[in-house]
Amino acid sequence: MNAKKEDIEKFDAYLQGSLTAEENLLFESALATNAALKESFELHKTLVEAIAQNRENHLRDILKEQRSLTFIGSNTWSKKFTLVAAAIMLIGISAMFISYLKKTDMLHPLATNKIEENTDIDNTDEPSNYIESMDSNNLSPKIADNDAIAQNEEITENFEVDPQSIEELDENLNTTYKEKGDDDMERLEGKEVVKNTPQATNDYKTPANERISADKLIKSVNTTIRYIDTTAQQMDVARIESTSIKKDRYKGEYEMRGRTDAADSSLAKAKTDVQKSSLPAQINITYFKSPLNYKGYSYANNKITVYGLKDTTSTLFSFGEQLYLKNSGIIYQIKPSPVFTDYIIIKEKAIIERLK
Amino acid sequence: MWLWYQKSDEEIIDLIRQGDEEVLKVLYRQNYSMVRKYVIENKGTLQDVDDLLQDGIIALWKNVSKREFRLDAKLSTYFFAITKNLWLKQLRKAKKMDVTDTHEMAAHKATDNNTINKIDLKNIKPLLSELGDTCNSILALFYFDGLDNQSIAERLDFSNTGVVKAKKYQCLKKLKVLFYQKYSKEDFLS
Repeated sequence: MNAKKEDIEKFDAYLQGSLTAEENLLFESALATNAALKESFELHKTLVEAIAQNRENHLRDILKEQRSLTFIGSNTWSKKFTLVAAAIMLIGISAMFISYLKKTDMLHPLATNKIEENTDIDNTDEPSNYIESMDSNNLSPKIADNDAIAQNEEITENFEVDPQSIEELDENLNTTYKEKGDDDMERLEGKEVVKNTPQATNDYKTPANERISADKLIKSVNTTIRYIDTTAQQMDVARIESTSIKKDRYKGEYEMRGRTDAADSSLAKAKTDVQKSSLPAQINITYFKSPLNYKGYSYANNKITVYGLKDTTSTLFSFGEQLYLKNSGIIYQIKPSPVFTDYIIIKEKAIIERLK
Repeated sequence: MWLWYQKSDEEIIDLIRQGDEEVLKVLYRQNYSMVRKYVIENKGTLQDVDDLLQDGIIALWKNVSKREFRLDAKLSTYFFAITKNLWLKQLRKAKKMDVTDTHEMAAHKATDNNTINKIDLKNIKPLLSELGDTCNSILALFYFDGLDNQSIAERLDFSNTGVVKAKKYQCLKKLKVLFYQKYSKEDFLS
């Protein structure tokens, strides 16, 4: 088993092919006859090959490192592919960013309010901060002073447009408020309080004729309604002064509605020669602050939503089949429009005169 | 980052002779496109390109390591000749003899027949790691790189070839002892 130094040199020379032909023959015959030499040689050969193989594998491992780099780095197609992939990613990221921007556009107050109006989306995060009671007399100046636009307020008023005479309708109407999104929802039902003065109207703590509408909390306010029979020319003008005021920093909504029973009862007594308008008995007006100095309105489903009006007391007139809104001395024509449109300011003196 | 610029033939040969293994990567990178073009044009695949580059570089490494190696052409030409011969050999093996070989260059002695008869590398590798670095270097340089004793003495800073011979003998003896501790002669005798 222990080969001599000379033997090993002979083995190496034989394996390297550096022996002469004669030496080769001698060595091979020795291997054939000497079993010990054969064993020694075979072991040497095995080990030497293992050593060489081990070394070669080591070098190939280094080359494989370079291969992985080369196949990505210096292959021109790989480079192109990488560029294309990068471009696609860039486009994708931009598209996401743009769609994100568009989404935030959707949160624009105009859009939000529109959605809210139609779908009754809950807005629970922002409780209404306070409810301010005012009477119809001081409402207008106060709001005007404070610059209603800057106050994030919504004021909902209820108007009843009815061609009845004032006297017959000079009674209390049940009014309902609908408040959405407040945490402290309470339910107050079936109380009947009759108030005749504007001051009483706004006393939230003595609510009159509170009624639950829909599924939300209701607070009610007495409303005084004055009907003005302006002409003898069959022009029906109903003027309703509403005092329901609500301040909600964000999106809370109040509705106040004149109770229809009252209107119905008075309708029964109405003069028969008064032409009945096809306009609804009640119209809800909602004021919105306009963040972009946008002015306009929408009118659908008996609701008028107005933007950019500082004064939160308006008067609705019906003139024939036309509906007019008077605010701060300016008369706007209100046409049914589910989307926001610009105001139409009436300048014809004839109409203005009549509506006075 | 010396890896990222091209090296001259002389630099590469010097690095191979110093045993700097990083130069293998330079060779791979510098010859990649040339070999790729040739192999793809001659019925090869990208996998063939990689295999051929590895084989060619290993062969070049062994040839250049030898003391008697003299370069009388550009290294890239020499390398291309090696890889071409290797590829033709492979094609012949696969009986794909339609490759036109117009410029048969210098013949190259390819290393083949690396088969170990019964016992294989994975049995011997643990033994090699027990040998120590000096032994492994000497044995690898002698039996794989094909360096003579003089070159090994120079590479590993031994005073003379006698020391190399003695060390080599001791190392082999030690390896055989280690081998017989785990295996018997039946494991390698066919």
